[in-house]
Amino acid sequence: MPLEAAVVVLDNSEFSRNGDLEPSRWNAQQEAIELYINVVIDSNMESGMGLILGGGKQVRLLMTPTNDRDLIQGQFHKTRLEGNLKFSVAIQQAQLALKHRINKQQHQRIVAFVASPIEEEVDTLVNLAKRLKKNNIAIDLINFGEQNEDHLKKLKTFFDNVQKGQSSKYINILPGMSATETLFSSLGNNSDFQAEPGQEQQAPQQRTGGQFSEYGGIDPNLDPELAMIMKMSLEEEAQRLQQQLTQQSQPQQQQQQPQQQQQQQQPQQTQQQKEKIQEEKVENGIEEENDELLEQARLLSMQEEQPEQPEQPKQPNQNAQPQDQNTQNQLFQDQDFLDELLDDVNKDEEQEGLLKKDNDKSKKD
Amino acid sequence: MQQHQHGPNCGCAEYMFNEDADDLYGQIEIDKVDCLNETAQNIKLIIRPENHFVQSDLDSEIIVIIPFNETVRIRQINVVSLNEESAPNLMKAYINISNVDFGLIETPCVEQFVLSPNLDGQFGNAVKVSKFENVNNLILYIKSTVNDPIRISYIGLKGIRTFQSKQLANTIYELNPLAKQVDPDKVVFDSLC
Repeated sequence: MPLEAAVVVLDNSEFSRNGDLEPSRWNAQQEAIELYINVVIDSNMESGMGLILGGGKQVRLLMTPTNDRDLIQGQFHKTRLEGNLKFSVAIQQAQLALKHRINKQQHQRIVAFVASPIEEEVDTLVNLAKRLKKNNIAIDLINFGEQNEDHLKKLKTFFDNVQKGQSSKYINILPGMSATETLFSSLGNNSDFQAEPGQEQQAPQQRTGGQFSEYGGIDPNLDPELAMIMKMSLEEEAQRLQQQLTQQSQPQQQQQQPQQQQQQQQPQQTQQQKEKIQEEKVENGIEEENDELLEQARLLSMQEEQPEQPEQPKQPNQNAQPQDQNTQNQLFQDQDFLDELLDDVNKDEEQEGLLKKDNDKSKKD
Repeated sequence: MQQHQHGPNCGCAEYMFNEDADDLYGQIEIDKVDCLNETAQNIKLIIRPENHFVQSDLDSEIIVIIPFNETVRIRQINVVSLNEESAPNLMKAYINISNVDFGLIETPCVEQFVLSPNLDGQFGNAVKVSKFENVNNLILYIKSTVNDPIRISYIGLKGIRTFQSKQLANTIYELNPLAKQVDPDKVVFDSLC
């Protein structure tokens, strides 16, 4: 993320008491602030974030752009929900706050949280938008819950007039959706933003699916070998699909994919002593598990070294077609490829073996 | 009647065309040149007369911010448009203003110019010399009341260098004061004691 000064305009009008976003629109805004703190400040230490209260009797500047996250989060206890959102006044004040930022190198951005219907006319909004665009200020317009048609139209017009290149974003959070999830997915795709550990508890693979889809959902930084194998298997699958598009029906192709992933992991397992560690990795990596096949895989790995080719056709004999096996087999017949695979894996295993020994020693102590 | 254009032989006392003026291209901090309300990020490219142009985005007006790496005295500002249909006709110049945005145009300018298309770049707008001493930062507000959008292919500045700059003097940071005389040019780093 570039060096940025972002001023967030909060909507503390009475409309934010609305519970259509769990638990209330105001709480959703607070959680969104947490997210923005990560996006802006954690990605670049010199970026700053400021706060403005757009509702209430008067539009109030709570915080000038600062990189101290505790200061920002501490402002919330000063807030009260009252009045109506004064959108254009709040945006103009945000513009002024940005104009007088201390570090002129920071790009200017206004993040507008809107949780109530906008009172201003479209013309006023368009003029405001043009002024922002001329002065090179990017806008993140986030609509919390309000789904009135006129309101959405106004927001859309405002956004279209402000948009310069790709720097501005418009996110509409529908009632019933989780604000942080929607924001995270929209913001995450546009930047190098990584989730906080706390947010990763729910379905991490679905979250990272968008970011690491070419590695089959595995973070290459955490597990490079597995990521490489997943990538290769996905590429193989893509090639195979192209070749046999007319011959097979789709549901069968989808079922074969997890099986092929398992097949490619078996050659690693056949020549190891510590299979369990590797199997756990494999299990965590595969999204769709087929228990029967896993059992067979385990049995296979317990066996002595044997040529892999006769075993593979037996494995998923329930659903697989013999044609699919041939391309796989050719790959695994190539000794160089196998040696490469196993070399990397063996090094990893040695390290883990050492680690395990150390753990055992420490346990004895 | 055509407005009087100043040149080397017009004899006007105020607008002296100063033959000593050099091209100030070397004194412009190219990386920090900025332009508000342009469609593409071309402003750095038009400081040299090459095949690029800057086009205004909304409302046929742009603001160009030109910082210098030393204090200069400006004698002449030369603005070349791309063609007649997108030529500006008005320019306001401001000096030494940080924090520029479009609210600036409501404040009084240092000098105001009427621009001609100037397609061959021959005509440079001579400035009032006394007002453009000690310039670290030049801001040009260029607009057209007639054409929309405007396209500019070159901005040239002529003037005199003063060789004075706002830079840090040569400094040495000491944790403990050193007893011996230290030559700043010879110090690479000092030991922490």
